[in-house]
Amino acid sequence: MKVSQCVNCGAMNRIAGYSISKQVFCGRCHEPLLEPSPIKWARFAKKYIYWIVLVAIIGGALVIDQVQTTKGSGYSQSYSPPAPSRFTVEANPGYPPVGIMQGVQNVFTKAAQIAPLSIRTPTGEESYFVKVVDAYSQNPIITLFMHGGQTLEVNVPLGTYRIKYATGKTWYGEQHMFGPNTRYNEADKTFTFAVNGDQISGYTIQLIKQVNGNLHTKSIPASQF
Amino acid sequence: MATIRFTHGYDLLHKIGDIAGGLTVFAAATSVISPIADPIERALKHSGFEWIWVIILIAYFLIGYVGSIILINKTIWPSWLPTFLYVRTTLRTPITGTEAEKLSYLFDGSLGGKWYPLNAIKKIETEYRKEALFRFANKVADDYRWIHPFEMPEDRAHKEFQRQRAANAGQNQQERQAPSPGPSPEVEYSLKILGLDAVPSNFDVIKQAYRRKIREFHPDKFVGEKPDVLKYAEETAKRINSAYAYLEQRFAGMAQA
Repeated sequence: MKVSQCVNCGAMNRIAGYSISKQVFCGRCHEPLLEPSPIKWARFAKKYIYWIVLVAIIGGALVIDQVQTTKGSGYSQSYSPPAPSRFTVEANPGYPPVGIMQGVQNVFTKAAQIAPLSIRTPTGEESYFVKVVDAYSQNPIITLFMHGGQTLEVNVPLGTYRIKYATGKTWYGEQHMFGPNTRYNEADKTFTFAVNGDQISGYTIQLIKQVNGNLHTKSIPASQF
Repeated sequence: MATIRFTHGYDLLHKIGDIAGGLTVFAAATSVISPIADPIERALKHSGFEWIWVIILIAYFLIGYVGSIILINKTIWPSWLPTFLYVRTTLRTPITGTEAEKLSYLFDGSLGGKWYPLNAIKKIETEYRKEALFRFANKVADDYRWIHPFEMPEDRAHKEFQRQRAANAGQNQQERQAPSPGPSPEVEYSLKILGLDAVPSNFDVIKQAYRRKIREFHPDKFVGEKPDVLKYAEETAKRINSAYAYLEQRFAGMAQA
């Protein structure tokens, strides 16, 4: 049992406790008694719960949209693959190396390629086989081959894609990639190439290790490449 | 199967707003939960449980869309809005949102698809329109055996009389015989029907109030309305006539004076 003094008439009121669902009133003058702030706020939240949910949804969506727009036009997303072990010994895979030119290898779509995509690889002996796939259907869109320390600029169709890449030193063709030591990776996020007003959003992806880089990747098995 | 019924234009507008607003809120909610949903989607797809993701998507779409419509109906797009707009603009009767909510069943087709355009309300003087509308809503509530959504002055007088009678029942005989300071309940009830608060000093005031009231609620003003609206007009006119007849009989002396 608690005692609360009415600020209106000064009467002392005995109350069992404060509740969100029931407001307490003075027994003498019937004016509302003072309540602790949490109770008042909880009652306010209960009364306007639908408005709070609506504002949270709309506000959250606007914030997320703003963040994604900022990231999409940033053109400076960086990532570095894990450094290869210095003691790696290339085993003979039993099939011959294949010569390959740097650049676009295959285009799997007939859609207009209008959105810019630029990829930079770190300096080193390793080469990169990059595959851009549709984020939803997982169908390949375009494949690229790059040597270390190079920059390649291509155009891709509008859409939302995932980027996967394989790395290694010696190229054995698309069937065997870089042999048994091929490492497969996939970027954790999707990349949306879209028209924003009179601009077409694109991406520059640096596969170079940077402090506070904003693109994370994960290792994937060969079957998911 | 549920049937969507359209009554007046604002109702149709509201239904379109429901669909568009629901989709907007649903899209916003989808955007908000995407940082959580995307990894789950990828994990399920990569682990071969894509069918679970499909079930989640279907459930999310159904619950999310219905929830979005409920959310906007509870906030920026309330269900009483079409009634409010219809009564304010078409019937030119000033009402509040709370009153529109109580009146909605007359205009939204929820009476088995039936609704009342009540265009005759516009022929009544502005100060009586609200009363006519509320009385008709009460009459329809009577037909469906619902509680009256609007308490009229004579209802309040009747309630007060009942309360006083219940309070007096516990008192002793001497107190019960004490004269009441105000008019009798029957007189007060009749006065309230005519829109008067107290017994006037001159009977002409009662007569004028009666004439004004019967002019506004005369059944001729409701010609062309639905039969139950006409019946309501006749009942109202009868009630006004009865109230006046009672007061005339009661205060005949005052009239002669």
